Amino acid sequence: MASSLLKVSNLSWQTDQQTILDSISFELCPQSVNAIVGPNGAGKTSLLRCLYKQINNYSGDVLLTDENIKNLSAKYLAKQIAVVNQHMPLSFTLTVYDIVCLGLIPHLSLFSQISKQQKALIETILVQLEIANLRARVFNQLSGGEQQRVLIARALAQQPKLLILDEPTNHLDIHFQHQILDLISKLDVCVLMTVHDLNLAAYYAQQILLLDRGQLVAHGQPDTVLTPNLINQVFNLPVELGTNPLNRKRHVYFSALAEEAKP
Amino acid sequence: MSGLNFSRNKTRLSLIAMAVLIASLLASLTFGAAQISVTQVFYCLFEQCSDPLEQTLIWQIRMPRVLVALLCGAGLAVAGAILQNTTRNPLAEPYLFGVVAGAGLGASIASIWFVDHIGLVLPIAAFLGAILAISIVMLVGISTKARRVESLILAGVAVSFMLSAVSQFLLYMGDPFATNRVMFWLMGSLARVEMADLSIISPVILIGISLVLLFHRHIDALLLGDENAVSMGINVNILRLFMLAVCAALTATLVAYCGGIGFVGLMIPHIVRHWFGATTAPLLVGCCLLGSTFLLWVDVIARTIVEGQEIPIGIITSILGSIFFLTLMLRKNN
Repeated sequence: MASSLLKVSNLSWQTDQQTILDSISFELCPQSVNAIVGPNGAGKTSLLRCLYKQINNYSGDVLLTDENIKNLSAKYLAKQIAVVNQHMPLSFTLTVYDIVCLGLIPHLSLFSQISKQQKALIETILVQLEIANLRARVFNQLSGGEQQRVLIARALAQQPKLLILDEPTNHLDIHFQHQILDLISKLDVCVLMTVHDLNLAAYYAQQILLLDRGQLVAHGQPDTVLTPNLINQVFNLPVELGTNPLNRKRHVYFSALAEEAKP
Repeated sequence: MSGLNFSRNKTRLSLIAMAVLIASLLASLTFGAAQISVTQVFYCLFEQCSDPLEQTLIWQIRMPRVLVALLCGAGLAVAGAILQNTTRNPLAEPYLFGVVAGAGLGASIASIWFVDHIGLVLPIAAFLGAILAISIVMLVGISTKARRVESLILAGVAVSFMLSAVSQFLLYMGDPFATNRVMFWLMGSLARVEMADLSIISPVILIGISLVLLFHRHIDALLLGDENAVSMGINVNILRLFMLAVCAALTATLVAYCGGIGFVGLMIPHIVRHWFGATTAPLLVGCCLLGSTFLLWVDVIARTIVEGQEIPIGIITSILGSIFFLTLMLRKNN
């Protein structure tokens, strides 16, 4: 394994009532695509929130290139880690260009203007994500797939080493799900994302983290994590494995609970 | 957002708005009990007045009023725009956070117990009352770490009712003349401001607007939601409370001198957003220009609509503001 970009050791977090994350440890390589999968309430989003300091009162260590993120300033961390959240409450209309430029904030001081190089970077990102023609469009009027690309572009403008995405395929149709994940898998950064669809995780991620009730049940390549036993144990669903004839990748087949119950 | 480098369209709009503001400023100096033509105003401003009476009228009476209208319109509109952007609430405005109720309490105390020095004490008491109100709201914000924008707004509404109740109790138990004084003061007027007061009002407004402009990108980031702003390295709680403090200083100063002038902070940012967009830097420039022009003309209406009498400016802004919002709602429904 190449030297790790992110090293998480014994990360635990609990609220007043219950333990949300329990002794989680893993490492991420630079420029790798990593997917966190698990049932609802497994702690996927909470884990991500610890990594970008939205949650601070956890125990354990999160090291980014060997530096504990608790010791890093918010501005420095924003240059290293960019986040695309599930929810973006937009009460007012911002254009695509406005939103993408906001990604430059960690690189600008209060008095500085956007430089020519930074403008060129924004142009490159707009072209890379195929949204250059949408620059003057209002965000709220875009399709779900276009909105997701704009948010990823904004995150890339932060020039991060680690890109965190919380359910980037949420509410997207099958075409946009593949389009977004294909785009993410070609980015030149380390990606950590939560995904509900195990097959999408198997197709696009090099490493999968399987989370259940706050614990990391398995971590490794899709073939080693997506096994019938583990999937059945975590999701409580009967499952068969196969290979997708189109991409030769692992494919998980489920059957409905009702069908399983039939004699 | 591209720093303060506006797009060509927004620069053009700003220049047009600036031209309209300058024309309005000159025109507004001609309105009043005594008729003074635009040419005479021009002479008095850039050469020498032919008549000493006109000199006094323009420089001592009308000019302070026009300048305070500019500052007041810009200050209230900017405060409204910032509160709307930082709370992501299109209905947020300076008075929602208890500023007027607090100033009203200060004015009530001054009117009941400091009648002999009312001219001096009232603005100070109103300012302290406004600061008291916003301090309580901010304390609630700090104690809840401003995690929920709604908690700030609800705290503002609660403080508003609480301080209004105290004012009403004091006035009910006190002198009926004090009630009249406070009531008229709360209706708002630019007539009370003198040239000397501008030396206090203008630095507060100019420093306040400059501070807000410095943080324009951070305020834009808040529009994307708190979690996204945090991930961009912004301390959301501190920024929101700081902006609330700046808006409080702007509004408290204006309310202390001009009384309650509602709807400017709510209505102007909505109009400006339509033309200049939602990003903070152009929004603030637009609010300064349009807010100033709007209040200049409202003051002209207040001075001239009833012959020989001045209508409180707050009444006119409230009428225009409510009509604006009803029209907006009807248009959206259609």
